[in-house]
Amino acid sequence: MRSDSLVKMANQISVSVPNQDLAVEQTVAHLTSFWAPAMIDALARHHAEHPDDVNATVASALAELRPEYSHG
Amino acid sequence: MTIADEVDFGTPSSSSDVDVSLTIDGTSICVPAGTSVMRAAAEAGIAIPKLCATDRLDAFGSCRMCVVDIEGRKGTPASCTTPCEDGMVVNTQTPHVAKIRRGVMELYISDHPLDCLTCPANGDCELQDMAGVVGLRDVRYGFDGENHLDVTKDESNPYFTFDASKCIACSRCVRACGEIQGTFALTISGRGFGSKVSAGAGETFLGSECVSCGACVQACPTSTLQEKTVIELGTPTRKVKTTCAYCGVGCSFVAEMRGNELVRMVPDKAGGANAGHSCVKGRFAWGYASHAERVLAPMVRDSIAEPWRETSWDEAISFAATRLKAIQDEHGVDSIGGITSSRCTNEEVFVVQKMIRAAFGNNNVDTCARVCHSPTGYGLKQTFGTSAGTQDFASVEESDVIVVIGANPTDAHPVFASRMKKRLREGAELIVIDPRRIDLVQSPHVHASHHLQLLPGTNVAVVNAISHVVVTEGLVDTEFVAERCDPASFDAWQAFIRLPENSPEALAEATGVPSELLRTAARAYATAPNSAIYYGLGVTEHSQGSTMVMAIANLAMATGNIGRRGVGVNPLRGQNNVQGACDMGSFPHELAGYRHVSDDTVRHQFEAVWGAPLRPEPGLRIPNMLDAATVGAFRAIYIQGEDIAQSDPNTQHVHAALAAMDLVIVQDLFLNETSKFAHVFLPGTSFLEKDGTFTNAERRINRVRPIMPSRTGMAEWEVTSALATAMGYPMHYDTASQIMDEIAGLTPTFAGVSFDLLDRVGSVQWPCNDATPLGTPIMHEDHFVRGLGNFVTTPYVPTDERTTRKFPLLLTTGRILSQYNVGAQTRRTANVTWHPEDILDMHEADAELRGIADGTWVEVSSRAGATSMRVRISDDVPAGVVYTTFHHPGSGANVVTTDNSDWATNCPEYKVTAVEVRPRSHADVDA
Repeated sequence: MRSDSLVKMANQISVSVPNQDLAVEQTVAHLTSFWAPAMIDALARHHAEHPDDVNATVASALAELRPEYSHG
Repeated sequence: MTIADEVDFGTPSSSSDVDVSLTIDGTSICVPAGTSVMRAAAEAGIAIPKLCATDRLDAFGSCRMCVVDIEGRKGTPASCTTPCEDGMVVNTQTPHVAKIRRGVMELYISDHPLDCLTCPANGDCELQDMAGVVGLRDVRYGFDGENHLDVTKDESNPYFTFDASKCIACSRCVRACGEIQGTFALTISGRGFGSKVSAGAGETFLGSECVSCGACVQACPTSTLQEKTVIELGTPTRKVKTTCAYCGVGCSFVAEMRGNELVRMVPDKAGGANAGHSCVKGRFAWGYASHAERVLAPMVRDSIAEPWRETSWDEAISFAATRLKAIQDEHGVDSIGGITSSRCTNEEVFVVQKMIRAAFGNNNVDTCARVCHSPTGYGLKQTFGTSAGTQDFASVEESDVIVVIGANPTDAHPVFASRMKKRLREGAELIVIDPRRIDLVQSPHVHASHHLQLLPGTNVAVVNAISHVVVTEGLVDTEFVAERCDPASFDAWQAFIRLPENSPEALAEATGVPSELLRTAARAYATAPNSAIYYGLGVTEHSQGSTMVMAIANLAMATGNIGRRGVGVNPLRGQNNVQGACDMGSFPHELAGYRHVSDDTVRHQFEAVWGAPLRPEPGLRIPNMLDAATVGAFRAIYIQGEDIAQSDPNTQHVHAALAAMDLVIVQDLFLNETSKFAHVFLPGTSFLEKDGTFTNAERRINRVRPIMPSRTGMAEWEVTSALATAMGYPMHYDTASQIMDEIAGLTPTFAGVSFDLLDRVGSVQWPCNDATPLGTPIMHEDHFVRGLGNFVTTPYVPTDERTTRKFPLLLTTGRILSQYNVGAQTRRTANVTWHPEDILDMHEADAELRGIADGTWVEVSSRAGATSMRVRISDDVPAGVVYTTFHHPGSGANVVTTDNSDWATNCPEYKVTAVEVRPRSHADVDA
């Protein structure tokens, strides 16, 4: 997977999900429903190495989806 | 021209609820008030002679052949223009009327060539038939008087001729051009004996505004307007009903044949989608099916540097299967996938996605709808509960306000556009929301009362502003919302849409739409009895495509414009079977019928029937596959009937991805841009050879019938089945109807569909099941598919693609009438006469600034790439916006489009690309 594409798509999803008050939950739901698991894995791996590339919503979503890659 | 066994009742039917009773030739007849005497007689089996009358056109009363005797009335009125009345007694056959008819016929024939035996319409000529019916035996006036027999024939149109020497000035062609097509390109010029049919202002047909829909040819009762194929090949001897394979309108046709040779395509009057009309593509542009460049035998090669090697089907299948399995063994089960095609039948698509899920063992299946209407699928499912337009096409005939957003129906969906224009001529109000001045904005007898000429990329802002007006000015249909919609979602949406940031005034600068214009448009939409929205790819192919679809759905629900005739939300689908390809489970996250792969109950149903385990998580979409290919994670792809190397955005990236794969399998009619990267070429079948179904934009499932045997020796579903079997997953069907039976067994919305049903009733619109055995023309009538309609908040998020000093213009792309998508079909027909190359439309102000003259070759560059084409100076586009089509690989418009995409679906943002345009030097052009 191309990390730059995954980062761009995930950030775009997080700011576009309809209810920004529930942005993390809706981002998690969207990635689960529409992304192949390998894409989420690849994004989580990238995030572990480049924590500043994704926004806070995506970071929180990844922590929920792939806790094994999360920081701290 | 007539179809042999098709009854022509002479005048249109009446829809009156009041009946009248009369007697015709001693037979008592009861008909709706407003029915003509001619039609009433025809319905009773009494054929009154006629020439200028046909039931496709309003009564005209010019030929005098249909005169009748009506007791108590003076003279002999024309039966076509005389409405039936209670107690009327009509005699259609009296010596007096017979004498009049014969006399009229003598006059016609005195100025008509007597070449029936060598005339291409011999046996298919209403004048010839009527001469027989009235008993013409001689012409007292002779044939040496002043006449039109030496008039020059106009052969300028590539598909039909105009031989004025055979014209009887019945005006059927002129009326068809106006009433049916709505172009008004033809007229009767001159008076009396000098009257003649004229294209435009005395131009040739090709040089006039004629759009070559062929309605005039079909309406002509003689050989004056005649298909060149009939002149060349002769009269058809058999016919088969089938469905056009171009756009999402899905026109029904009668294919008229001589043996296995197609002579002409005649639109079917009984066709649910087209009601007897057609466009230049459907009626005439089918010659590609027999084009010399068709590939008819399988081909393979070990590397793309090698030439193709023709081989047998068995070897090609074995070659492909062996390599697919080897790649999976080395790189994993998820390293391969495939793409289904919206040009193929439901049955062909279904077996491809089945092969991928069951034989490949993953969900890496996607479809070309990814790059067009995937946001429609997402947006309408979120709001209404299912991915489909809400209406049938005929619904537009009851609309009072029609909103066209990001669509150009006269070019891309011309047969539906004719229907829409007819309603507009009757007085419906038109609102166009589009950066371009599309033809509908101003065309003969059609004028958009509101043209919201927004800047590309600001769709959501405009529709939010319209909804803001609806909510803040008290125009919400509170009763509909209270009864039919989810209250919590409405409250949240209403609170959002009320925000001052969504007002027309706040958004005017961003959208470029004056606030007062937007407000009046909003009021018109919200207050009309029936308002309908039609939209195209100008809605979906944006970074907020899915958001925009939901914004449209919100607006329709808030104003109660859902669930009855004349209203609705209607996506105009691009290709012939976009709807069907999506229905058939082509998306990586959904099985047939839009059910998520994670739904255990649904998945177990498929597993039980298919006898294979299915994966519960989504697979890769097309852009994901291509991205993965560039880093070596995706190694092989099966591409059914798509040319992604030309059609998908950011061509350089697509080429790099395809070049990186170990195996590319292309199934298509012709070698194309994608096949340059392919290792296996599996020849496909044209629609003339297919047996199956297409589903059009109104969810109408139409039969596609083979009118000739497969020229490759295999049906496409047989090829797919053979490949799946060679992969180790036995798949076998004897007929395409067995595949539909399997679809019906697994898909609740198709539960009642079978070839038998379609052959009996013509077509049905899904859902078609026990509750609606003949289908569902209008959806969400009593409740939404999801129960209560769901409002979704739709914040406007500007696209990342913005103009800069380096790229100061916005490029948007679209289609033209004569060409179709990447042009694989239409470029191999005489349609290139009208559009031999892609052209860049540019506003005069932008051109002047750059020293660009009309016809100049220019370079169009973006951050993705650069291409060249010629410029047309046009005020159809506003300053700051340029526009082109993408039909020709030479210009390759997608070289400059970027990899930006819709946030929810990855549908590419074709409609917004920041570019610069510079004149090219002569040296550049020559090079």
